[in-house]
Amino acid sequence: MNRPIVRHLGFALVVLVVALLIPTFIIAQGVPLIPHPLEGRDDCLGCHGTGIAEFPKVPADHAGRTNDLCQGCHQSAAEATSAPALVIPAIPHPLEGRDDCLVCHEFGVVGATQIPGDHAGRTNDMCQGCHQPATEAAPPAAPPNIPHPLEGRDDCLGCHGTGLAGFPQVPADHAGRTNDLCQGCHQSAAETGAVPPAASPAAPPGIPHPLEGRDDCLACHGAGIAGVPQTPDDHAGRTNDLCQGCHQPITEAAPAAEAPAFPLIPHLLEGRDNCLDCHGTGLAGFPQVPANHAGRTDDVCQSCHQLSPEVAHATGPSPFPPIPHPLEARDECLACHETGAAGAPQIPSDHVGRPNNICQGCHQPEAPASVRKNCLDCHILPEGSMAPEEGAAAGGVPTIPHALERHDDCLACHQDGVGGAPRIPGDHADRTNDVCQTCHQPGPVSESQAPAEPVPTPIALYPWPEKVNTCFDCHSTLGGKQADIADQWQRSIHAERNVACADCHGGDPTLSAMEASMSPDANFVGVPAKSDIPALCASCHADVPRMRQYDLPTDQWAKYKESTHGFQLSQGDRNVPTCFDCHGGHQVLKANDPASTVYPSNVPDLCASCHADETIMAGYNIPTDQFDLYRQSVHGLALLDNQDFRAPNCATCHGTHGAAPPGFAEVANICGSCHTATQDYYLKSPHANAGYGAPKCVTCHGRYDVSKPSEAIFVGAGPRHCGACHPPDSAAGRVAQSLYDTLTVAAQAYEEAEAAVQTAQRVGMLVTPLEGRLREANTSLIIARAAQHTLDPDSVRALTDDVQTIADEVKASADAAVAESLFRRRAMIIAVAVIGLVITALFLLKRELERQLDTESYKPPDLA
Amino acid sequence: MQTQKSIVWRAWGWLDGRYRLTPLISALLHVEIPRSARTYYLGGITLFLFMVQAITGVLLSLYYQPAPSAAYDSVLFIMHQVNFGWLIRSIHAWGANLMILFCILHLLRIFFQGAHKAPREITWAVGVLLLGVTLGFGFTGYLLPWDQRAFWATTVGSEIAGVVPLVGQKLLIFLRSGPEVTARTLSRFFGVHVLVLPATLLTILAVHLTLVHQQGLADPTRPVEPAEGTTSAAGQEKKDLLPFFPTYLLDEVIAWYAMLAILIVLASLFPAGLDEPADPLRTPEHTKPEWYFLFLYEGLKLVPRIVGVTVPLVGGLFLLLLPFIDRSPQRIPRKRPVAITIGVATLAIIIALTIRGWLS
Repeated sequence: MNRPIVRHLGFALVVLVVALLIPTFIIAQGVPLIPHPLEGRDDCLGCHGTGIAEFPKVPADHAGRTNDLCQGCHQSAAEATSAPALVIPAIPHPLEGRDDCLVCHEFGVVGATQIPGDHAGRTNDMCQGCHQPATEAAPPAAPPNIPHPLEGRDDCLGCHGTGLAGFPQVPADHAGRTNDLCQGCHQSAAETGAVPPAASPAAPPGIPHPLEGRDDCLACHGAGIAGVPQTPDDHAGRTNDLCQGCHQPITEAAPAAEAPAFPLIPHLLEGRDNCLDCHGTGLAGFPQVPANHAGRTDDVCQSCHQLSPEVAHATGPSPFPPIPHPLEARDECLACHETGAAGAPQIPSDHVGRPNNICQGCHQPEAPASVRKNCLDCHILPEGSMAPEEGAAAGGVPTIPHALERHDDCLACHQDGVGGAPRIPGDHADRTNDVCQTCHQPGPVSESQAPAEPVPTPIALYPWPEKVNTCFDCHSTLGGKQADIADQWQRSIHAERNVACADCHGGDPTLSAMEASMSPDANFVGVPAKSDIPALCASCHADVPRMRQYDLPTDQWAKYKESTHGFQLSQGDRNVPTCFDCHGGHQVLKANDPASTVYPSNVPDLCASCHADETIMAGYNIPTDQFDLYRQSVHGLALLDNQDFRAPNCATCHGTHGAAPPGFAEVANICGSCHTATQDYYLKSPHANAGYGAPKCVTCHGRYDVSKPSEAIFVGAGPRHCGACHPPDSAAGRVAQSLYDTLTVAAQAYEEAEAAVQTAQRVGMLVTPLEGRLREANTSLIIARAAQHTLDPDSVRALTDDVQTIADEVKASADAAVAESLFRRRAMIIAVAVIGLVITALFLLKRELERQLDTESYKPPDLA
Repeated sequence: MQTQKSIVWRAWGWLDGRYRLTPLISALLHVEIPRSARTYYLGGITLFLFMVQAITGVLLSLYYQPAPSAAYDSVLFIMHQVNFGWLIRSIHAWGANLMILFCILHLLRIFFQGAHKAPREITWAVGVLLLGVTLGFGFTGYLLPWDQRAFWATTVGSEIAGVVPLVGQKLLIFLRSGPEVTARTLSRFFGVHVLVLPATLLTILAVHLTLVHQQGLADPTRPVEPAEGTTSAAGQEKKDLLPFFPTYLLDEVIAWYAMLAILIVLASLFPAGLDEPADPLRTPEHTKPEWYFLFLYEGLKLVPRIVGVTVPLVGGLFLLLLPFIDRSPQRIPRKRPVAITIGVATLAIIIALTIRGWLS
């Protein structure tokens, strides 16, 4: 082979190899790779031209080279697979809104990675030249999502800054980060769709009620009052404005289908904002709030319970009877409607106990009086008739012949013609009091109908000491009724006190000629009108100087006028009693005379003579069973059977001259006038302070038919038992059970001690000292039974402990006495047996003596 | 060989040698009694009950304190603290009632058997006085416990005395030692009960027993008593007589033992009670005197006061002087119909009034 050719070929090969290797060498050794991605970074000289911020400055020999030449030599390291990759930290957070890298990274604030020293001078726009977002491949330590909606919650650190109330606190390395950074990393889960809030097992419960008017979530949920779910412990410190951040109303999602879960309010709300007045205690048949609502206040009711649409949008006639009369000065609905007095419609039985202030919740005035048309606006009076305002009775419109003051309830009398008042015609039915005066105008007031005032009587004209009373002389000889009257008067206290016929009937009792003594000239009155009687009597009995000498009260007339009787009389009702009817007619006796009709034990019969008479009471819609109920009550039995004058009669509670039914709220004071200690205890109780609807004495003990109370009242759910209002498992029910247990145990201990004492007494042992102790125990038991009205089991127990102590001591002594008696009886048997032996011995001796006598062998002993 | 005499006989011989007691004892004991003169033990039991009362009374007086502030408590003390105090007091209380009862039964027996007639007029009168003294014991003793029942029974009882004509009010003040029942009344009643009445009763009883001893027991089978100055044993056959000692006395002692047993039974089964302490300001609902005064109390309610007091007073006087008024010597009951009728009627009235008072 040709060596030079080989040489040449070898040389050429070497040159080729070298030629091929040079650029490689240059690249490998002399031309630095571009260590960063090139996308968006085409201005190489922007950095490398001046060498700012430690970027490698182009060498001096590169001067004049332009950007487009760089990549001729310098290749991207990523593309140069043979070269090791530079580790450039990715940007671990989204970039949106975060274009000022150096804000954080220049100094490494709030935990951000500080740029290395060789990066000094680099500007924000360079960062992403090297550092790329890592969003595509989310690192395992991805920032937690925001599990709650963001609307209205831009103050992340408000909660998360301090870890308030269990919110996740920002890690220590986040220190210094501000709210505007958070969403840089932390994304709303809802938006990312990663964790749908509703599907999350830890999803916050939705708000099941409307929010309007309920922005104070913690008012209820804070303490868990009234059965609402309490905020969990880890929510402590959270404020109302945070709640809806997590908890969303679910009413939208759970629409009307669930709404009826809260009963609707079936009545109008105007004037009825005290829901609990009625519903709190279940007063009068109103639905009582469930036990889990305890503690809720009036202002939250309507949060759940909405006005029934039927009521809210009612267009037809109201199902509740309208109020057909003006309401001015008539806010005491129950004054008339409770008993149906004066013809007013009586409230239905399921309304009993409802107070005045709720009536208008359902019952609305029919129409304002001012809207009513004057009849005469439309109707023309017949020819020749006078306009009513001229006061004439012509045209068939009678005028009003009496004063109107206190007589404004026209129908009270005129509806049924009470007391002789003209009855309204049939075509006036349903007209109400407020329309009467539209047609009927006040006319001249008849004197006889006017409220009578005390009139001086001729008592001073005919002083009795003259002993001349021709009235009596003559009437007593007339026989029949006249003689009876004379006889009755003669037995009366009036005859005894020199009050004679003429003092009431007028006339001159000194004249013997009837025509003269009974003439108008002699001021003869005759039989006084019933309506005049109270004033006639009052002319003396309301006269303080005159009554002083008899130590009699003088307020009867004033009280009578305020009484139902007096008022009805002033309305023209002639059925009602006056002084004459109750005090025995002409035979007025002193009230403390047992024969007097007003003697305490005679009062029930006196009142019953009218009030138990169905015929008389028919016009008043008043029950007639009061006397029968009273007769069997503890009060009736005590007064009428045992003649115990401490027991009340009708007048004790209703008043005598001022007789009127006491109001429900007054009951405790009425009963307390005798049962003072019990009242004192009651006034300390929750019952006394629970408002109008709370139980009064009559609620548990009855009114007329008050029965002997027993511990049984605490148990059972029947009427007049605690269980009637309080379920046994309620707090109050447990108090009742506690009182029952305490008092029953004490009563039983007392009864056992009493029985033991009786046993000891039966066997003849002295028990007087034990009886004294037993009385002490009984007194304590009586006080404890009164003290149970406080509803405070502890204070009752303090008293029953005394009972228990004394009863135990007495029982032990009584049992010891019985044991002593047994000993005595055994000793007695022994003693009697010994005496029996002696007697037997003596008897044998006697027989021996008699035998000696029979055989004449007996000789008197020789004492000498 | 002479038998060695016991120490009792020797002591008796020593005394008898000096004081010649044998005739006295013989005179007291060795009398003979007609077998038909049955007394039904009534007088003897009354005597026995008096002895019981004397013994128990002395025991009670050792503890009893006669002052209102202390009397009740001292009785409570006797009942609860003193050994057998309850028994002593119960026997005393029952003994008092039984003594009055047997006194009355004794009187009735005498009356219906005509034993009060001549020659035993004085014995009868003295016996009636004994009944009066016994009632006085009951009246004064009843107040001593000073409980409600005692206080008010004494109050109403002494009010009966207050309506005696003429001297009533003075008598009442004398009894009560003032217008009201007070501490002075208690003091007075105690003194009378333990000093005046025992002395009086012992004296009168001694007279009564002496008279009985001297005359012997009346024999109801004899229609008419033998001549005055003789004993009942006079003229009797020996077989119809019974030696007082020991036969008759033994019979009595047996009855006394029986009565003692009855007292123990009564005291054990029905011990004396005690009401609440006396309270002059609190009148009990039902106040009545003891049963033996009930007929007086009830009578006062039924008839005018003057009658209600005068009739028993005159009746008592009539009773005292009965043998001098009813001087017929006839003893057989059916031979003296008027006296028996009056007696039965009076007794019936008294029993009726007592029952009525008991039930009221």
